[in-house]
Amino acid sequence: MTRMLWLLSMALAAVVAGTASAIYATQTLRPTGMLTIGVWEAVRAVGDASADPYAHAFLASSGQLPPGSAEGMRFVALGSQTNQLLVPNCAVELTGRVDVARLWTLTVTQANGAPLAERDARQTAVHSRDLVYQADGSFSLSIGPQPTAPNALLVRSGLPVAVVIHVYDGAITSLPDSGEAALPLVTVGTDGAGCPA
Amino acid sequence: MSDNFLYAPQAKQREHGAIASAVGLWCGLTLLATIVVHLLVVFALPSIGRGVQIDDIIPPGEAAPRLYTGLAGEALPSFRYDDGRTDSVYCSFDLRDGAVRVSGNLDVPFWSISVHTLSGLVVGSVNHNATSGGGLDLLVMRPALAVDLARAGAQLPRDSLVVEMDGPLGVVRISGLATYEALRSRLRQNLAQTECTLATFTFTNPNAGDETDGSGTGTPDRSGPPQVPQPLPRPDALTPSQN
Repeated sequence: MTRMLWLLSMALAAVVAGTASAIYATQTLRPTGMLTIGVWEAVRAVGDASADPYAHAFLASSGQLPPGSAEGMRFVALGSQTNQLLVPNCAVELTGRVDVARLWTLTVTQANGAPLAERDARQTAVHSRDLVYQADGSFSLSIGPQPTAPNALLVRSGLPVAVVIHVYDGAITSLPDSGEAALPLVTVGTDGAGCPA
Repeated sequence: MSDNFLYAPQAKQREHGAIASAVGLWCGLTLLATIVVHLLVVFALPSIGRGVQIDDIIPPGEAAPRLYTGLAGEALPSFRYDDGRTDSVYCSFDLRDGAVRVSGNLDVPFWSISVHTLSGLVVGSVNHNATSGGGLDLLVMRPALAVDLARAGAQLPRDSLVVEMDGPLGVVRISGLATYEALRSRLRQNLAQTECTLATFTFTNPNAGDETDGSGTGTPDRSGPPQVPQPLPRPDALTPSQN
């Protein structure tokens, strides 16, 4: 009886700890092969057959269909330069340039990647040719209920969102790991209820 | 009291030692079992987690290949972090049946095709810059079939995606980029006209120099070279009348 309890407790502990650690590792930890440029993260090499088992599991459970290498790359920002959540009602602003490609799009989604509800936003994506640029090639774009920059996506939401840049140049996959390429800086305004002071 | 503590009887020491070794054994075996369970879960997650979205594209039991356009009441899934300016249609395939031919006429500034396993892994992709003349007409097949077809002198489209994947089932995503919002509806119509079928081949007989037309659903003609595999319809793909 004691031996049975001993084995049972061991099996139970192993199942609980093994499952919990596997779920934690595949859902919380970032898989290897991620490319980070400032606040932007891309899932390079996560989608292809060379990905490790943790990347496989991360991908299968995340509900993503990652772009292939011929389709460019997808950069996701979930926070600002100062680690604030991107809440549109606090006026999120992107300034700078997308040096890594000429053809790109920018999309605002829910923080988990699901599309925004239509009642929250009239337009959720822009194309690189839709924007007004400064003379030096940079641009600024605001995401919020009121336009605060020459380019704007009117989104009304008190919940955090993700900003996704898809770049469509094939050469992007050969980028180095460090942030040598430039992507826009992301800032969050301080005005409004619930916004960072 | 202190004497008892400092000079415990040997029996008590043995008892403590037995408990300590039992606890150590329990910890060691539990750790080992935890690692095994951890690895099992990690390797099983792609099969368990497959699907929520991909099963929306390919409902279990549907025959492949089939194009899913989101029209006619079909559910078209939205994958996480998808580009808001692109539109996609999906073609399910089963490589046990042969090669899949994807063709169409996409009149957009950028289009691409990616081949995915059912767990979402990308096993091949191509964009409009990499295809002959910018046209969409390519085959998706396994390396073994590509070799057999080449040996048999099959006339193939100029573009093909030879994919190496664990299972035979997968999905091809055909995406187009709408440069302007106003082009979206046209893009959707364009994408919906994409064709996704089992490939048929025309063989050039290297000895006689004549050509034999392939016919049927994705199978080379029976009069073609014998070394070319002749895929048989799977039992689950047969209609009741065929059974």
